[in-house]
Amino acid sequence: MTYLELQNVTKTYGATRALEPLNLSLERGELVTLLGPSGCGKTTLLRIVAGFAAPSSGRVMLEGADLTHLPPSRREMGMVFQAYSLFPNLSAEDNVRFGLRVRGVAALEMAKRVDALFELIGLSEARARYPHQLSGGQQQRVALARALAPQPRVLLLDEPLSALDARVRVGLRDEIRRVQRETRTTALFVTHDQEEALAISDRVVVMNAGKIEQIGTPEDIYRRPATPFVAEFVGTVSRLEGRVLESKRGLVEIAGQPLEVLGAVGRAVGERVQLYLRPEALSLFAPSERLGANLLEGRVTERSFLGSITRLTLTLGSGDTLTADLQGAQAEVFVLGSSAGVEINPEAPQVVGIRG
Amino acid sequence: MTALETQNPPPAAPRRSRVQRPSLWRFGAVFLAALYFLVPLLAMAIFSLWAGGTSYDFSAYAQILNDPQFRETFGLSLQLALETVLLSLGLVVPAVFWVNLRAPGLRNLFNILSTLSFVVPPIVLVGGLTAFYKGPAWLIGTPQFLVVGYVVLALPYTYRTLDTGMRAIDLSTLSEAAQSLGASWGTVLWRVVLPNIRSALLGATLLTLAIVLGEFTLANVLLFNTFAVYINHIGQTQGTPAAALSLLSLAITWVAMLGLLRFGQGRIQAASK
Repeated sequence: MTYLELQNVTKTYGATRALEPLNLSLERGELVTLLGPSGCGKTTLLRIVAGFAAPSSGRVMLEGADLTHLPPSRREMGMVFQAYSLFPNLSAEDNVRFGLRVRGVAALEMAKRVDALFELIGLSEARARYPHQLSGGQQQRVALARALAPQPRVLLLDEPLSALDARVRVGLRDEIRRVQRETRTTALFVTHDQEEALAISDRVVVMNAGKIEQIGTPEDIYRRPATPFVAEFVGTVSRLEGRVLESKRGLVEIAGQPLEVLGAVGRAVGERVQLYLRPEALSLFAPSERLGANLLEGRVTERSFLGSITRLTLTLGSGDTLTADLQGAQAEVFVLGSSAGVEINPEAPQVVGIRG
Repeated sequence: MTALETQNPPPAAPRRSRVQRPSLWRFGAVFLAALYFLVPLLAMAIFSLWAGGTSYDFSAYAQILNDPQFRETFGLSLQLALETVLLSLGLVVPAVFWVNLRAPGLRNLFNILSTLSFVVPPIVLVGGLTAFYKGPAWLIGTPQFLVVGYVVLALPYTYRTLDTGMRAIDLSTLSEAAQSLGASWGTVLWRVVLPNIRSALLGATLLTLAIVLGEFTLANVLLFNTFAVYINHIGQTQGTPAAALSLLSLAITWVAMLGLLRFGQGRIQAASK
């Protein structure tokens, strides 16, 4: 049964439409991420769920009850903010107790819950410290414990990691996921960082310009992007344009070469299409090594060593470029300026028709 | 000079330090400023000890301290000061909170309103208050009526201090965090905002205290015998006791303010540990 539901939610600021009619539902216990660039409306949507902004139309339903016009203090939702939001005048422990005190929880029960939460976030030794005595990562962990203390029905996280440095971010995002799973709390997470979204979500909602582009599991979003925006926003992608030559086998003319592409099967002959290819889906060979179908030839025009992988940019004869990731010794063969053959797996490209 | 030395010339001799000269100027400036403030006080102190001819004693101080009017008027002014502080903070804190959180567009209007008492002379303020307030009798017939005027006189200081204090904290995030934890607006203000603007509250209190203890015009025109009125009366009738009283009032005011400051800073330090 749907736990949290947004029904036809819109938001308008004067003449500007920040959110188009949106429909979204969350199941109990799942972590759903709103992913998109700055200004896409993801934080606006989160604030509508939290009650800090009113929708221009539509409803917010929680377990069948309409929360749309309920103030934030009565929605029983916990929130972790982007900015450090701990109360500076209270210790970490008193911060976590705050929501319990407001609700009048008995002292014994309060103590039990606070102990358990500090154990969960691994900061028992720091509970007497004040926020200015904690690191950024510690502060956000305490903020998470504080939001969970009153046992909220939904946990809302508004880019909680964006103010932290990269290493702390990776550790803390895994911890947020672990805590969310252990407490079985339904969570709505907002981020512009695709790696975060893919790493911790049960489902990802990709947004752009106030609209939902695609909802799916991280694998769906990455491997089967439904729109060009999703394909280009999530992960690195190469884009090639071509024309369908044969519908039955899915033959597409790309850079002057016929390629078999499963995604083009059934499309009309002559239809213009775009192919999206992930870097790891491309296999590179020295031009003489491989002969056969689904091969393109190009020259290595850029080369970036990224640690575990080397990223190569190949410029095809048509002027199109492809990005390929190679691991270890594989990459050493292809130096700058060298020729390379690229084999396209027929299943790899995601095909999108071009309108007009 | 060897080739090596031409390539690597020896380091230049260190320049003479110029620290000493500015230090003398600074000391001189501070000394002159101190003289400017302390000499009149010293002169007043010497005069307050003069008992006629060439004798000096504390008889003027004894006379003042034994005067029941001294205790009564100081007690009244202190009471009015505390009432003014309570009323000022009670009105201005929620107003500044709302302007900062929900109505930043009203900031300019509040800035203008808060500085009106600078351009409206106290005598005009008195005329306006007496014309506006016709009752209730328990207000206009008692010294508490002065509190209304004192709140207006202290407004530029209380508003500016509290506004600065609220702008120094992330009011929006803290308020939303508290609300997400179930806090009502009252709880947000009382348990989150006020504890985090203690310095501003203390500053506003001290400024209001100083203004009320020294205010003369409103009290004199409305015929209430406050401490400032008492000082003025003594000053017009008795020489050395007037000097003694002025020094005493200065000392008392300083002690009161320092006491408040120490109390407030102690609580702020305890909170930040």
